[in-house]
Amino acid sequence: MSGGLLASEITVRYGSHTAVDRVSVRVDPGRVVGLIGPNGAGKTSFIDAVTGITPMAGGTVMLDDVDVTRWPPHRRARQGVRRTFQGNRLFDDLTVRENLIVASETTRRFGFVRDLFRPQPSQVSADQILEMIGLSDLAEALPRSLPAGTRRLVGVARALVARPRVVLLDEPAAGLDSHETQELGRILRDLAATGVGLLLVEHDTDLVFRICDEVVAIDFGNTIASGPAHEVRSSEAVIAAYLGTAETEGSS
Amino acid sequence: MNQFLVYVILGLGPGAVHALLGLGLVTVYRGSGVLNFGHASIAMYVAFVFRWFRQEVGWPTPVAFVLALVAAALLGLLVHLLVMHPLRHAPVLARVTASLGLLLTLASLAYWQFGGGTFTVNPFTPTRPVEILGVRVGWDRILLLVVALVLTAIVWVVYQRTLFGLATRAAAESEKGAAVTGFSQARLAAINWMIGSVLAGIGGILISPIARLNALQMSLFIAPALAAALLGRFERLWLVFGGGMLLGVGESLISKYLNDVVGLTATLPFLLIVGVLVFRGSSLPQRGELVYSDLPIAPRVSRLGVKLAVFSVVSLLLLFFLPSSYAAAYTIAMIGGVIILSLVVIVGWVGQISLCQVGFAGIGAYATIRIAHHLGVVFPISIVLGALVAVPVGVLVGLPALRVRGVNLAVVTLGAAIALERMVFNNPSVTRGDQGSTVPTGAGMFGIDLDGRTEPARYGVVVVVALCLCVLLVANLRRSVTGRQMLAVRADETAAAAAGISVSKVKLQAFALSAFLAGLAGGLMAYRAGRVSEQGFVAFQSITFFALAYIGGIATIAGALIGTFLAPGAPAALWLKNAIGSVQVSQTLSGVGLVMTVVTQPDGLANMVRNEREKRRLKKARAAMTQDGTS
Repeated sequence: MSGGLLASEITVRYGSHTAVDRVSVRVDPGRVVGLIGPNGAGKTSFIDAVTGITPMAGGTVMLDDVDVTRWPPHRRARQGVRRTFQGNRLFDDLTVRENLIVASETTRRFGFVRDLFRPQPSQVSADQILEMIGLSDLAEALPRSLPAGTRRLVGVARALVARPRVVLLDEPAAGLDSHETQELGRILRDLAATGVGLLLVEHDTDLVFRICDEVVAIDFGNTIASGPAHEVRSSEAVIAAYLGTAETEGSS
Repeated sequence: MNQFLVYVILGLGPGAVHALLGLGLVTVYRGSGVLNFGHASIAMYVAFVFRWFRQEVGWPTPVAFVLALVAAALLGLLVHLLVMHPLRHAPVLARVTASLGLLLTLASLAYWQFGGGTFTVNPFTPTRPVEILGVRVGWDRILLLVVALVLTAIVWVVYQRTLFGLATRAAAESEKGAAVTGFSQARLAAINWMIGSVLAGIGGILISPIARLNALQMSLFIAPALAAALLGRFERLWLVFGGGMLLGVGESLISKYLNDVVGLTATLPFLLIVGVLVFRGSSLPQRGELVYSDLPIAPRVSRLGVKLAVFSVVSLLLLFFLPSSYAAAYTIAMIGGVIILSLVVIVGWVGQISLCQVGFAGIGAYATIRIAHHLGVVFPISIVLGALVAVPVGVLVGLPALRVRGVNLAVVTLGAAIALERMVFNNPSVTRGDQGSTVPTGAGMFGIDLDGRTEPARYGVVVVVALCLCVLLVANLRRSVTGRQMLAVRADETAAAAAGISVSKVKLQAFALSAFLAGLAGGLMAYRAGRVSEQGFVAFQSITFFALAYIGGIATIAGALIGTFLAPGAPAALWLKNAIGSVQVSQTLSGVGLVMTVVTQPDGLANMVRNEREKRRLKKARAAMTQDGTS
């Protein structure tokens, strides 16, 4: 066992519909793993299950050899499993800086009673992450006032600020232009170099195959291919289920 | 066994009314997306109209019935046109507040027009009994049951089988959905408001001979009706029907077998429904679950010193320069301000709708009195200790909030408020005697007499100080880790959990603090008058305070201070009352004013000031830019 995230045989059901069927993904520290599949393949449901947002019908989640399967989502997050959302889902009444620090502040027992009498300045600094993502100038802005691409970066920054072990990114490049996507790819590779494991759910397959070490492809909740990026890219099942359509579009 | 059956059958009548009211609630909700807390008040008002036509004017029953239902339809149409249509794009809470305002308006209007007190309605259906299964049952109850069944069936068929029904169901999903079927959303909403109001009217008229007519009591029929509608998820009409019947029968059985537990009749069935909601809910909103998070903006605390200074100076001037009756009344309004502040925390910052604040105040008041008697603790420590007693109650009421959200939670907390009113404040063993309801000695500190009865202005100063201290606590919170976590939870529970925040903990902390503040208000009330009575803590008043908090500016501290000047007892309200010379008229006008304020300022008055300032700033910036361009 070498640490990192090990999600095995994850199964998610909504009523009688099985959205994710025994999908296993391993994200080692410092690695970037891609999770691809057509719309409705179960990618977001997989992330929801691993982060504890959606109850699992089966499977286990291990983080650094600790079984977190039965932990509530906020404990998993504190243990080092962080994520971004497709819709960003920023905290609109907090500034960009506050959005970040609220994600890594811890409270003591009955700390809120002390907060009533003497609010402490935050012990957490978000400066380093803000600088790394290039958001330093916007630290005091309210998210509502920012363009979509910047909001997305704030979402990524919020997932990174607490120095997570592994980050699950749900379509971080959606809505970014090609320059911003390039920039995002660079940020993610730099991040992996610091030892963080990344799971990248993304429609932009160029980005996925450019920056991922390994790729898992799913369709209708089932794993159809997994392995090193170049192998998955040439897998027939993947081309049929997913890339096939993309290539037809590309050649037309 | 026979007895058991008798009580089951006795419960069918009220059960049918719960079902009918629930049915109307669902109709209005499906057609216009409004959870109408004023629905039972419409039923009450129409029943009064019916009684008036029939017993005062003396027209035949069928004529009175038809006219009353026409009035119901008109009332529904008016509410739609004047209130809900203009608010269709406003935050959900604005519409909830407007419907609460409707409740208050209709209740005081009925008082004004038809008089307070309880009225009997002569039976208009044969009451002679028939024998079913060896039990003698009144015809009126059977009729109620049949009417509820038939109406549910009709509404069900209409919604399932007609284009209008299809359009309404589509509209409930999205505005465009209705447009596809060729109906305009506005017309659909209007028709559904009329249908819903007529259904309410039928229920109100049919129950009036059995339950008798009282403006306030009947308005609170909303709680079981909401419970029935919730059980059917505002969608499944037969579940709503079943829920209503279950509540009616449950109430009846409890009144027979558990009669010695005070207030259980009105409480237990409701608690069961809460249980169902909690069981059905999940600790985080699931995919596809509708979550309303469009609360007005919660700005940072700014210029707090200025605000508090202005408020204090104005308050002191009012206390010492107005006639002493005004001073005493204004003190009541400021205590109301503390309750409104407690709502800023729980609703404004954490997004949890609580209609139970006056219940917490009641706990604080009675606990303060007990503590003063039994522990010999003096003012103001007794108040603080009393408020601490309200904290566990607040946490208990907050527990369902871990799995129930949005307007559903409003229903749950309203139920809790009713439970507290009936089981605690109406319970003689809690409140009886001097030790239960009278403070041992009046307020005083450092040898200064601050007794609210003999020194109203001095006691008013105490309340000014208390309110300012509470504001400081709440402002501190907004600046702290806990405050940030609260706003994160309010914005998005799922994202907050994924950011490592314990959503449950934050919600319970907010309920604890909110109950503490409301409990303080209760203790302040106790020392102001020297004694308290159960009339001071009726569930109804929580609704008033919620509405005031919302129109003041639910997510702002300034809003709480503004709300103080609108609260019952504030100089303007008292002046209005004196000028008109009638409590009912001034209350009706306040209700109308409240609804109109929501319609014109759906984000609250505090944000109105803010929006204006923002507009001016933008204008200036734009002007500066054009100047740059030309130079």
